[in-house]
Amino acid sequence: MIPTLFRVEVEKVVGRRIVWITSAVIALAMVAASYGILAIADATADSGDAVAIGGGDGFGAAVAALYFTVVVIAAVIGARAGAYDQEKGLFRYWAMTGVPRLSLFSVRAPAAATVVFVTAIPAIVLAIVLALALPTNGGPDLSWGDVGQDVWWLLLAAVFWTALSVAIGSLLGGSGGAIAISLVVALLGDQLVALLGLINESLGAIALSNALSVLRGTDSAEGPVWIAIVVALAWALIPLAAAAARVRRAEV
Amino acid sequence: MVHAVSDPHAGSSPSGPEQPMIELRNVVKAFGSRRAIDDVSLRVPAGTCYGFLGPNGAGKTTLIRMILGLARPTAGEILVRGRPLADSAHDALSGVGGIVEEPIFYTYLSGRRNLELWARVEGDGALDRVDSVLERVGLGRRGEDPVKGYSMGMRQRLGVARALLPDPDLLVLDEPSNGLDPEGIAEFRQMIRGFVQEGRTVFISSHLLDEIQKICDDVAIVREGRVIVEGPVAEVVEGQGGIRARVDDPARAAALIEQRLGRPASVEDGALVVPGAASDDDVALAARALVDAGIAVYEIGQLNVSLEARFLELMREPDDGSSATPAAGP
Repeated sequence: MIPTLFRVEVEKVVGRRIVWITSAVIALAMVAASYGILAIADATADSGDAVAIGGGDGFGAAVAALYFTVVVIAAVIGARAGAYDQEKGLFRYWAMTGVPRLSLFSVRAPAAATVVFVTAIPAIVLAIVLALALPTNGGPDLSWGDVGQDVWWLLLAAVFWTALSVAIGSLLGGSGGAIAISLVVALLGDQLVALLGLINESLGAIALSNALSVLRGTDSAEGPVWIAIVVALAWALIPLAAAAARVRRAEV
Repeated sequence: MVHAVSDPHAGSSPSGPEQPMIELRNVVKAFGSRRAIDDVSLRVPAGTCYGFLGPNGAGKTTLIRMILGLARPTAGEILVRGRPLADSAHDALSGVGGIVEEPIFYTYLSGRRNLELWARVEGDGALDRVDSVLERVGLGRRGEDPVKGYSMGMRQRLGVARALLPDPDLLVLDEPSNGLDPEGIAEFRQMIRGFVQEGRTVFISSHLLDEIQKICDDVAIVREGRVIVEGPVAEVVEGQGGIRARVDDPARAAALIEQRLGRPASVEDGALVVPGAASDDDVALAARALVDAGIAVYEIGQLNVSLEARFLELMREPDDGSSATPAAGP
């Protein structure tokens, strides 16, 4: 039953084509824009200070831009996936099928996260192609190890930020408010939590973005992996558990 | 004949040798201190069309949501298809289709696509029934159109189509005639009767009392969360218009009835008319009084009223606080 529910959930999200097509186009545009900015920076740089457009540096810049795009897409698609059925009164018709509510709820986050990540794939491909095609200007070449690490980071972002947004949507039961709150949490709340690191370094580790950086496996990331795993799971699972309890009890 | 009894199940005509399709036992639904449903007991016989009537806010939709497992009763027990909802909701609801409040769909998807989504979750061959249910509700040609382009009537039809996907033996329809034009209402009436002829049970709430009278076998009228009348439609309206008699001397007959029975009587179109509810016993009493007085009685009988008139009369009556007044059996 779960694979069937997952498929149906994906079709519900993908059926609203305008959302994911727009998201995919924005992701492509962000990648193109990041390379474009590097190209302009290179063109306007003094001779001898050439800027790497392609290669590892160019790809890294594109992925950084793509990360925030994925976070925004996750907030929009995830919050909507979490809220829509309850908001519109559709959930009662799913509940009437006799399928347990928790089963219906359990596929929301995985399905939405899948759509979010798949939406970003064309942009990832474009980033790789441009990194290979554009001049490195003395910078490092693109390594497939870096590509794997960055794609893993984007996948983690898609999974955890979407899960959080689905939970917010399911708790609020209204798409508009859920999208707004998801964006605030992702773009502002997480940064505020990260700032706690200025007070105490270990407090900064409870920011989801920091945890995902650790799980990304880059050299610059600091902190034990197990703490990062616990933090990331807590950001996703605690809100999801609260949302599941609400969905299970709610009279629809 | 309809009259009050203390035990809601005693003498209730819907009860029969077969297991009722829906059974409510002293169901209460409270929101804070307010009882939206107050000690309601009902038995809906299998293979019939059962109408559930009441003014806005009477608790109709609340009760329907509880029957469909969408809301939990505060007290009491609900059995659907013989299975208690509290313990085996999945088994109880697997053969049930319904519309609650209004039929809602993913408006950005086509009607067919919507049905396919639900059919996958329903399983048990529901996907193979998508075409046939679309045809049955008259949407065969519009199935590929996005639902956002559907009229309210078309959405109602699509709602019925979705309700039919599990090949249900019970259909629970909340105001299904909303948005239908007169032609659509007539088609809908035929469709509902068709479901009953196929052996399905239909539990329907509606404001269209004339339609309920035409469609339903049994009816319950609810007011302020309590069932105030329950029984076969014919019995609910029977005799509620009073007594009408064709006699040789109507004026003398009217005076006699007023004197003997203590009820107002008049002459209308040359016939004796005694307004107000009249039971079989009342008719027999009047006939005997007339004959004993030497008045020739050519014809005498009960005057029925429309369900609408009966409904409005019940709504005007003061609330005596009784929990239920089921129709008595023959």
